[in-house]
Amino acid sequence: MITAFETSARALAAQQRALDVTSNNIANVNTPGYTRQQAIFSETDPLTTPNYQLGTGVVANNVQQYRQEWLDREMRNGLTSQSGYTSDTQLFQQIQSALNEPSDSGLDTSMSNFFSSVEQLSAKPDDLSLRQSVLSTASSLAGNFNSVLGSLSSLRTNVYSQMGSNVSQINSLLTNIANLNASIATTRTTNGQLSSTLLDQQNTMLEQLSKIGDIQVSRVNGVANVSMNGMAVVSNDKAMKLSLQQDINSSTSEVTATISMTDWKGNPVGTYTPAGGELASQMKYYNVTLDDKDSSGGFSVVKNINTLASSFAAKVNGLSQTGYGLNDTGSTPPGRNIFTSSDGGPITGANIQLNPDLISHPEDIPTASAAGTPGNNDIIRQIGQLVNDSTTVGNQTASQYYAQTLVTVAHIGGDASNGQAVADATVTQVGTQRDAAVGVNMDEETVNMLKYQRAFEAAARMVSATSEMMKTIVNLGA
Amino acid sequence: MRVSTNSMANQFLLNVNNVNARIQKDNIQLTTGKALVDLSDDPNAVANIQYYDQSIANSTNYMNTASQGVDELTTATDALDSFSSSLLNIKQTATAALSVDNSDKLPTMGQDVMTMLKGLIDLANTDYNGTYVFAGTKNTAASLTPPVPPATNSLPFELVQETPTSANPCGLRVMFKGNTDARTVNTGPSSTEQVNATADEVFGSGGTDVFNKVIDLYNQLNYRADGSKRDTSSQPFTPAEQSAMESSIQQIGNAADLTQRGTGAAATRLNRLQAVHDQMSSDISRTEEIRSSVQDVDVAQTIMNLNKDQMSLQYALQSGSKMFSQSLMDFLG
Repeated sequence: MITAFETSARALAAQQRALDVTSNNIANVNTPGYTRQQAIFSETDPLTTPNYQLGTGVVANNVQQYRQEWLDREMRNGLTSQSGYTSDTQLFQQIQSALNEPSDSGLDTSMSNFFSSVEQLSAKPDDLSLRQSVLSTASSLAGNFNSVLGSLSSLRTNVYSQMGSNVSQINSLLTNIANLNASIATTRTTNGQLSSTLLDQQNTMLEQLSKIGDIQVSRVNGVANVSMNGMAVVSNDKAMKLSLQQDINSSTSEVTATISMTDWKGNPVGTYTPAGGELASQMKYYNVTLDDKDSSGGFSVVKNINTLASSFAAKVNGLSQTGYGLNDTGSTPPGRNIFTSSDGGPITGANIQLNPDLISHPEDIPTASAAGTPGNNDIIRQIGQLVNDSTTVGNQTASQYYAQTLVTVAHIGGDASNGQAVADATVTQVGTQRDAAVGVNMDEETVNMLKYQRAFEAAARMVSATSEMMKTIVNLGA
Repeated sequence: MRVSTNSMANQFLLNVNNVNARIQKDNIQLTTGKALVDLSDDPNAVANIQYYDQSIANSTNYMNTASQGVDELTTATDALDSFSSSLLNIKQTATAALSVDNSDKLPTMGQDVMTMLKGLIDLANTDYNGTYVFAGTKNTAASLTPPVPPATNSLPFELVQETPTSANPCGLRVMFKGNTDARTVNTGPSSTEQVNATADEVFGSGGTDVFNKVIDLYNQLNYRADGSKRDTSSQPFTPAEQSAMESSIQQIGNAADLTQRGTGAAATRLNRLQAVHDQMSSDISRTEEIRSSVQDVDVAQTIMNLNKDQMSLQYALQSGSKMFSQSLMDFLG
């Protein structure tokens, strides 16, 4: 009879424990990174007599966490890819915005407007209003180059700032993961069970880290050892430090970003070149796509726009230097440039400007091949034909070169967009798979709640019934 | 398969976001009329659109230039037609002078020739929009000032008074202050067209030959071969003068032929420019049509897509509201 009491008491305790777990699951249904838990019931040791064995009830002495390491790994890989492509897409959008394409007011339209005004002037080179129009379109074109390059330069500065922020976040996460490793190692239960809460936090941090950079994780007894680019950045409770800096090439003045690593003692241990995640994307854009002096041989939109501006200006100036304005005399051309640089250096997209000497003197635009012949349009007509000059930039016209640049940018955007779609699908799929295993389902928890509640009620009834029986026995002699 | 509560919510949000993204794209396409919202939508189309844009811009430039050339050459050929008519009138006057029986009519006829000569000079000074059409590349008033004596004005052709000589007893001469340079404009990537008629082309050597022939005629009507003023009581022409007169009439006829040939050449240029204009206009229309097929949105298709996406959104939201409003908890007593 006493055994029945004890069995019921154990049942009451076990169902209560299970109800606690269910309560925790319901409470954390919306907690990011939470992994559902389940109380594991097991029979207690039987009471053995020479004639029979009698069960002694149930105990809930273990809480299982539904963690699936391979899905966590797949999720981290997916997040690395997804965040890299997302960053690529965002940066592409900003480049597209800087280029003001697709629109009717981009660089190509400005060049077209310039050539259009030049052609109109060539038909009537003595017309001051048409000369003013050429100055206006030339100034607008130069301004458009400046604007595009200014936006791209700001974007590059912003990318560096984001990289700095990401490196700080990596350092913070590495330190926190190392600290969690220490906590996980010391908070293990007597039966060897790991803290589910700490493991959830660790997994969340690893996923945050995987969004920024590509990581490899190996877990030993819940302790996560993390490596980046083959370098162990978290070993047990020790974490490395990363730092971002700009390197300046002394011969080319090219400024690139590098990330160096130091161990927990502060000793430099090498550089980190991210192969995935946001940081890899940002580094690619900073060191190549937005680098005006890129020497990697990759595609640099800034370099291309600079090349376009300088080549275009060189062609126009090469002709304008041989021409005469309306009031010029003498047998030697005055050698005027239509485009100059605002800082005295070689012309680039950032510093190109309309020759300030021409701004108030449209009559000085070199249009004629001989002095004193206002109707002579030889020079301005040749400038007009530069629109078809297939040697303006390499073996292309200015427009073709710009179109090729745009197409390359478009392909970068297309690749990023396609990659993001695939990565999104992967993350969604892995997330769904993982959720199917580890996520909380409210209906399931409600069913569990009812199940444990009913079992608890039944055990209580058993106590009550046993008590009645005991009472009967105790009152037999009364 | 187990489905977690968060998984349902995430999937629902993802679906709603996707539909909203599609609706946004439909809206942008319909409001801009362009199929390409982002460069990345179709990288190959970007290159094509750039090419078509450039082609249209170039053709428009050439068309406008050709149009202006047509206007200028029309002005020139109209002036030359009048010029030829005047030359024929001078020739008729000179021919009539050969048959007069009284020399007192000759100075009057000479005065008529002088009036017509001034008319010719006015025609030679015809301008189009402020530029003199027969002055080559030195064709503005600014480039012709200040006048150098004996010139007194800033027109390309001027009748000036010089010291009379036996060869030119009236001392008049037409001075040409422009030049005989051709002016060309671009009519294609590698083609140009002349948009002026040069003075030597239509008025003879040095741009003044025809005028000098008329002055010769004027001298013959007003002066005798020895340079003296024609006497009203004497015979109109000596045989030698008559022969010289006939030669001058022949030369005026030759000059009229030259002017007509020049007019014809100018008209040919005009026709070529008109053809360039028409061809460019046609090219622009054709290229715009091709560009439209690449660049412009299919409005009917996009409106259908928009309706479809709006319905999808409506159903997704309805489905979501049903999904999240029900739970087993609702049915517990």
